[in-house]
Amino acid sequence: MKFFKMLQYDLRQSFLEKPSKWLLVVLLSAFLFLRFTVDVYQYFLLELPGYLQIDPLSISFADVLLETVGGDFPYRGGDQQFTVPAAWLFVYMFCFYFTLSYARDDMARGGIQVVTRVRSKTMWWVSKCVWNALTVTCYFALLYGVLFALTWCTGKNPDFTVNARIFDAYFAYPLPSLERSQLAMCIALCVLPWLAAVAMSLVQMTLLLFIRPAFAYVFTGMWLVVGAYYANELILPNYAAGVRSITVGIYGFRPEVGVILSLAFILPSVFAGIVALRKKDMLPVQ
Amino acid sequence: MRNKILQNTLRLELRKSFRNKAFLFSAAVGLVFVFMSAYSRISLEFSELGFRAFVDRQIEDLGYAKYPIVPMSTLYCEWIGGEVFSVAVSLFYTLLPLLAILPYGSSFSEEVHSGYIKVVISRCGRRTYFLSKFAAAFVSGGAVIVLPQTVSLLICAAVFPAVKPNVIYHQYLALHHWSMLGRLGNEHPLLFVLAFLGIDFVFAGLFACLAISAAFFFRSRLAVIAVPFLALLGSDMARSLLGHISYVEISPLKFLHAIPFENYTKTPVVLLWLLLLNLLTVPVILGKGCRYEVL
Repeated sequence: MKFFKMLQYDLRQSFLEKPSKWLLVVLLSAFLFLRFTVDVYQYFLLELPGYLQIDPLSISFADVLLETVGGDFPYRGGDQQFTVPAAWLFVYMFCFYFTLSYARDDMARGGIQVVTRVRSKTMWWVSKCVWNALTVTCYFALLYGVLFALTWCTGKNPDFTVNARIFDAYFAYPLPSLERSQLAMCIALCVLPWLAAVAMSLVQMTLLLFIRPAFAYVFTGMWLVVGAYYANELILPNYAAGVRSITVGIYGFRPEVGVILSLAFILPSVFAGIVALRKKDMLPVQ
Repeated sequence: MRNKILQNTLRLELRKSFRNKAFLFSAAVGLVFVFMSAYSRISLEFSELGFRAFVDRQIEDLGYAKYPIVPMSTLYCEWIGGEVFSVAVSLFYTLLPLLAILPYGSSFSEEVHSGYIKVVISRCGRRTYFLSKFAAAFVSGGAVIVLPQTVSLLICAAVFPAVKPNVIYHQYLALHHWSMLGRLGNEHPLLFVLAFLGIDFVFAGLFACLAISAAFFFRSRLAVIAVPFLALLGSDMARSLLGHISYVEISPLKFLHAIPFENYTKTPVVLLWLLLLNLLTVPVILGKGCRYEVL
């Protein structure tokens, strides 16, 4: 009962204190959609009937997701130029900014009063972890929701069928001809990026117990950039880039490994936080 | 008397801005990127694909170096502001605003939270305090970016010849005459590099001042670091929007690189950004600062 009251308090503080931040997520999603429309229009400029009229290309929700939040290919060596995928990085850094300072701020504000009253640091920390996961979930739900709504409202296909021509134009790489189930694509483009984001966000929150928020934020940013550069099964941000999923067929990042790896970061983060908080003196933070 | 106070405050702020862990951290990260870039370019130079091996092969095959393509690997296309291939360049220029902000961008916010500002302003006055803060953030932000770039230039100068670019081999130094300072880059490349170091210094300094401006609007210490960075990253996201109208670079994270990554750098765009950054920093810091109520 105490735990749920605490969680309720966290959610109220986080969601209702500054509701305008959720408006920013809506605006970000709308901007990403506009950017996708302009990019596709530029690629197929000569065969489209009018300005920004991209509907004849038979675009689906999967195309929108791949090109907005699907990331990019890693560095492939040789004289190939590597550019950090700014949109993908922005989406995640913006999400991690949402979850960065609340736990630490709460520890410095009313957190110590709460811990004294409920007599459990563990309960306080688990509440923060659940709050963190729920905030990331809401962020992604809103992001995907707005993108889906815009896809549907503008007459595009609200499914997960990838358009090979758009994929080729966007990533300068041919899409392998594979059988892709709708569910597998949904997992690769929606579920795994969300799960990886939850794991990274929890790691970032645990780091706050040891280092300053700015450094924790820089660490998470570097982690994402390393993931964008190296295609390695053990680097979590690879699973946040849907284009690298085995379902798409170019890189072999398997969803089950992504889930296991995410859990391998989530659970130790929660436990490390519990252990660290037990030893931590909360007074100096105040 | 007032000048003396201003001098002392400025000296104090400058000392604080350079002697802190965040400055060392930013400079160290910048230097790591520089060493990564230099390692990648130098190792390529001496590899089988590089210019040296190419000349050696020619000497071996023909008995002499018939067409030594010297402009293939020169100082001006191999330093961190000239090369476009290594991951370090991409990292350095993407994280440039963050590296510039970290040393002293959040100092105002931290001093507000700690209460230190009350002590200083009551002694030196608001105008002196904010003027010194602006100058210190600007100089440290600029220095932390230009320092690694200068190291990169020196390392590359020790290995690569400082040969003037040849327009016949422009594919090795993709600096066209319609890009900003293109003529200078082809005729006086060293001056071009120095000019870009100056431009990067000014922009990095203004990025750091942007964080001080942000502190007037955001209470969170983290927000003053993250918001300017995310705003600049956002402008990088928007860079493809104008692609179908004209291939002009609008992202400062890209046009601060001396050699254009993809789109051409145009002087009006750079000047517009300069104006925008000045409008977001100078009136806010000095204007709002002079009316800032410490109590």
